Amino acid sequence: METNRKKELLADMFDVEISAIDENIKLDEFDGWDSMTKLSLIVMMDDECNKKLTGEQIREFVTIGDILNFMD
Amino acid sequence: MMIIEQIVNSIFTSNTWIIRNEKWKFAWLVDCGDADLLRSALYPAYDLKGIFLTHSHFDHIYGLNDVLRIWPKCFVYTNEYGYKALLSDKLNFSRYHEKSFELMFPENVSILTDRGKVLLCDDIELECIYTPGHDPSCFCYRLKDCLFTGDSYIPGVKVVTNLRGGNKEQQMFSQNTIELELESCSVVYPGHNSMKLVNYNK
Repeated sequence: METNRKKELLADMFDVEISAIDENIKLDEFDGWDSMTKLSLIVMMDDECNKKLTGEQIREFVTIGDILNFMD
Repeated sequence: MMIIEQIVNSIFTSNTWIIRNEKWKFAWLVDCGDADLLRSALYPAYDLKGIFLTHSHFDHIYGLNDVLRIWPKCFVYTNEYGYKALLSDKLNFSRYHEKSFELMFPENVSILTDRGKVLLCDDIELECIYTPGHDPSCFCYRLKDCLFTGDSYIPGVKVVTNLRGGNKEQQMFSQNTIELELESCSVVYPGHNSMKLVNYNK
């Protein structure tokens, strides 16, 4: 999947502009990184990337870049 | 007289609201979480007549199978999308939790339409108000001056529209619908957090 498409999906999920999806941003500092967004991420991975994402894997994500890499 | 009680469920601290009629010993629910708590609160003294779903997300429905085993004649009220989601762990999101949920008693489901009314008892009706946005199955329920809002309106909390089936534009429309209803209500019973009094200074 192209990087821009991945960023579009994350922007939709976080309800922000695509320009706000910076690979270096730490998730703990990202407004909206809550339990519902994490559920939304799991669903999006299933729908868009055909990937199973577990709670354990989510806990290992530190930055937006970690999510983008997982989407490959 | 109708008595309304809150049960805070173990999954995502969703609410189940119990509506009880002391005279007839009838009860209804708005959403359905922990069945053991409902059994303790209502069985065997009350006949559970119906369960009104505010939407079909897992944390608001996961007790349905256990509750319907206790009260097999109880109706479950939702719309067509909600009905499909009750039968699909993908649509109700339970496949992404520890325990998958799919309804085992589809014959108990009664399909709702916008502004439909259900007679509870005597002359007391509950009005069903379609409020999509958080999910295509979202309904608010009006009982006299009380409004049960589910996740379509939680005071002080931004409505989530980024889950599959969510729609920000529909939510904006539904928000207007809910705000109009609230003008003539006294109490809001949301899907999470506590009930809230409204219009008390009018």
